[in-house]
Amino acid sequence: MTVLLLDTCRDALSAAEFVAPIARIVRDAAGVAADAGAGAVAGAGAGADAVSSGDGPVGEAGAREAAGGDAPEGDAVRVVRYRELDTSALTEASHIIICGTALQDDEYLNHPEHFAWLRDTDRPVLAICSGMQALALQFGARLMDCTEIGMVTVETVAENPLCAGRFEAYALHRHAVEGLAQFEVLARSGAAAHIIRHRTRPLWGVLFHPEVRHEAVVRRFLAL
Amino acid sequence: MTLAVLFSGGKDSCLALQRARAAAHHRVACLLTIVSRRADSWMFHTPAISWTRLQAEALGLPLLTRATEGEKETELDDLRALLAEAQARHGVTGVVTGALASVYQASRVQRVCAELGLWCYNPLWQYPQEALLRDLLADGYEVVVTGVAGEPLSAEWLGRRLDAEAVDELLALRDSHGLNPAGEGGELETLVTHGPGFRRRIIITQSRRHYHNWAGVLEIQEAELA
Repeated sequence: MTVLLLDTCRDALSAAEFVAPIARIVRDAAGVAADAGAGAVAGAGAGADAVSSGDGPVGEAGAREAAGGDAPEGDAVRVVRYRELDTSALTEASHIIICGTALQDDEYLNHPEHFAWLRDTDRPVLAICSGMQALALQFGARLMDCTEIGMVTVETVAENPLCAGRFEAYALHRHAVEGLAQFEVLARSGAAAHIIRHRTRPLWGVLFHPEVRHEAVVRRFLAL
Repeated sequence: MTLAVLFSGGKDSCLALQRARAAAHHRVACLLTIVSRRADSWMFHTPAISWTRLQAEALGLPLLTRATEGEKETELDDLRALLAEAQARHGVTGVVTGALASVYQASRVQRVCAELGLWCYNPLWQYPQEALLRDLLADGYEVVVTGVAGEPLSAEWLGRRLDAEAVDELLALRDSHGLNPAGEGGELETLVTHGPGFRRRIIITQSRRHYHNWAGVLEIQEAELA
């Protein structure tokens, strides 16, 4: 399994916050049996230590390198900046995760052309926060102003393999998406769709940050 | 980007400062310290907070401070005022914190930064606690325990340096007692006396332990730069 992590952050200091935690979850999932159960997400999350292997290059180099930019051969993770993506990285990946970015970072919204590959890929994609916005915009959705910062209540509204029931999740965004005709909304807060799935293709969007207390969402995606 | 670092003087804010200073295209312009008058502040309390003045001098960085009563939500007004002062005096456009896992603290800082149009960086966010302790050792930080809370942390931990032996003990307590080894659950408070970026070392010349019922602080009465 090689998981391609797309880094949407404008600078590396944000990558330490939004890419490196996902890389650790993926590496841990590659090293242990994935939890493919679909129990309530709220009960499946674990503390920060649950994703800690304490190993790997994190902390020894710059944030992007820490997340996997200089990953050793055989590593489960490959990190690529979204603006530097080439087709070989897409075809070599078993799964693709588009990571989130800082609240003030809107750079990715100015470059929809770098996400056009989403219309053609057959790989499973999990698009987190900014990634979910980029994903939805490729399929006719619109941005809407929607600021959620901190824990929000998310309610599952359609049965799915990533989450179940009602749970608290960490949100950090100023935009959400609407006009989701090509997607099924699977979970939502009072303000916005929080988990979506494309109606015909393995494309998933998660607006909250699963790396905070809901690592199981990432593990379940990897087990799909 | 011109950055300010929220700085309590403990190991997390020093590591966050180090990450920020190492990042390309950024410049750390100042440190920011909120001094809470309440020992049970939700956001800012740490027992050796008054010594950030000496640390800033050792690091060669300006320090802006602001006192707060430490009330649960109104202390955010003091944070907002301090960040606004950093914007006005140093042209700060981004704020760095040492937040590791506290959603309560991180989301409140994020909100205040958003109100002021500031970028917010949390380079240690979700960082594994064991890796953080190992980084401190690898990078040569000198870290002193200034506060403990919770069984089985005895009074002997107060004033103890977090060296390799102490880290191994904390990891053993994680396994035996469920302790957060880096103190993320409030079990430990620390003061960094030397490390990357420090031009001089802080020497604690007089201190006193206050300890009762598995909780205590190291009151640093005198310290100086060597």
